[in-house]
Order: sequence, then C-alpha cells, then structure tokens
Amino acid sequence: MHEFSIIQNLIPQIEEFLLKGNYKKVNKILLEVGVMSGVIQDALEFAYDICSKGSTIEGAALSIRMVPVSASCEKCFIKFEVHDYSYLCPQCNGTDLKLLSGNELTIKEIEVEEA
Amino acid sequence: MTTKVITIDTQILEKNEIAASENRELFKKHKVLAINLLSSPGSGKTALLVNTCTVLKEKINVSVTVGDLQTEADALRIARSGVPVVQINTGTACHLDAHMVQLSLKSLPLAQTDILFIENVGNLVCPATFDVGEHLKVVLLSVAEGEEKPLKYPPIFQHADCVCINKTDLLPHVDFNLNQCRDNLQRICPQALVFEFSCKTGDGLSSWYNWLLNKWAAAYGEAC
Repeated sequence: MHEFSIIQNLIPQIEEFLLKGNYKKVNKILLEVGVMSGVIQDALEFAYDICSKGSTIEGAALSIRMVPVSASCEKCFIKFEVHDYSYLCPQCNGTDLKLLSGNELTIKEIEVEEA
Repeated sequence: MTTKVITIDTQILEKNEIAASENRELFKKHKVLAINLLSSPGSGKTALLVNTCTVLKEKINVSVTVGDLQTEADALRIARSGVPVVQINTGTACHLDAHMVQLSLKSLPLAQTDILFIENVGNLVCPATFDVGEHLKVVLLSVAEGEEKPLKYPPIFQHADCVCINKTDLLPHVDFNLNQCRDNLQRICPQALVFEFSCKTGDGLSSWYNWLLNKWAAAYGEAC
C-alpha cells in the first residue's frame, strides 16, 4: 500500500523541520490531498497511526483536507469543479483543459510547541 | 509553553520530485526520451516492449528498465530482443519511484540511448502518484479487462499522454465493448492519444512505432 511510502516520506520532513526550528514537539499536522492524487484518506490515516509510533512526531494529530478536482477551459476560460471524472468543459464541451487542483500531496501547516 | 502554527506548503514527496527532476536533467543531457509504461498485471507491457524493441532498434537506440516485485523474468524476455535492459526488484513496493529508476540508470548506456522505456510495476493505482522523471506516460489495458477500466481507475488514466488497447485479437472471444471504451477514455482523458493493437498478431502496432519515433524526433529536433 503506497500510503505507507507517503507517510515514510512525511515523517523525516517534519522531524527535520522541528530540528531546524528548534521546536520542542509537533501537536498537529495538516495535509492537503488531491482527490486525483491516487491516495486514499483512510489508508493514509492508518499508515500514519502505524508509522508515527516511536517517532519524534508520535502523538501529533493528523488532519487531512481533501482537495476536489478543478480545471479551467483553454477555449472559453471558465473555471469549474470536475465531477464524476468528466473532463469536458460544462460550458463549451471543450476538452482542452488545464487542471487547477486535485493532484496535491502537500504538507500545508503544522502546530508546534516552542522550546 | 507556547504553540504556534507554521505554514509549510511543501510536497510530501519532495525527495521523489527532486530525484525525478534529476532524472529529467540526465535524460535531457543525453537526449533520451523517457516513457513510463503503466498497466494492470497481465495487460501485455512486456510483450509490447519485446515487439517494440525488436522493431525500433533497427532505427533508433532503445534501452529498458523493468520493475517487478520479484524475479528477472521480464528483463530476460526483453533482453532477447537485443536491447540493453536492467531489472529493478522492488521487494514489496507496489510502484517504481524516481530514486529506484535513478539507480537503475547507472547500469544502462544512457549516452547511447535514444528512447528509454520504464516498465512500471503492474498496478493501476499506486504508480500514478510517483513521478519517475518520464516525458510521457503510456497506459496499457487489454480487451480482457473490461471497457469500464478507465472509469474505475481515473487517476492513472487522467495523467496518460497515450492509452494503448492491447489484445484486440481476442475481441471475438470476449465481451468487450470497444466503442464504449473509446467513449470512456474520451471522458476521462480526452487529451490522450489512443492506439489499438495486438502484440500477438502485430496488427495495429506500426502506428505505435511511428508515434514513438516522431515523439523522439520532436523532442530532440532530429529525424530518425
């Protein structure tokens, strides 16, 4: 399950951030996960529960904000949310779209305790 | 005890993105067109590469890196076509990542390679998340898998530059609605070029070969 790989990438990044900022601990972590990123929220939470044990970030509450898929049409320039994975402009039926959101896998913010 | 909220805004897979960028730089330096080949297990990735390498090597230099959990079976099959190939065994990892591909490149003659095929682990979910530095994502499905496949696995199809429908020789024997599959692909990935062929009979493969050669020529401004 690749959500474990993702958490195994997350933990050292947070640990490094704590070290560089000389913070005592992290209390909360907010992630943004795009609906099209291929990552499942439940699986990510499960992987986090397992992998964070014994690490410097153990005990920090993980929040995941799922980001919907949105796009803009290169023909009529409207922006819209994509539903049911239908990549057609709802206004002109065009297929020349630019994806604006939905692929995110981002560490958005953390709440830390200062030393 | 004071707490504060800090905005970070970095990618979780930052290390993978860095390795993927390094791979891209290496490909650019050696004028290599890198193609990430993705599919479910059994769709015919290896058969496609055996056919493709056998034909393309007469016109262009091809190398292959293959990912599987275990064995060198696929690498050995591809090696018989006469092109350099290296096998990556991921152990239990369900996808290739940029670092794995980077390591494999040390065993390939990149300076003498024009097209590099990266045969990913058979999996239509996880490889969608991991950029390995490729220029093109090609997703393969076979007529034995059902025309709803693109609807069931939208992330990987949504990122595809090209979709290949394989095993068309089986169409008389399976309940596969080709027109419905084409409609599904148009809905999920309208930007993707679609090829339909049979690696068993060779029918339809010449368009795929020509597309690859044209893509390399367009990338590096040279004729093949």
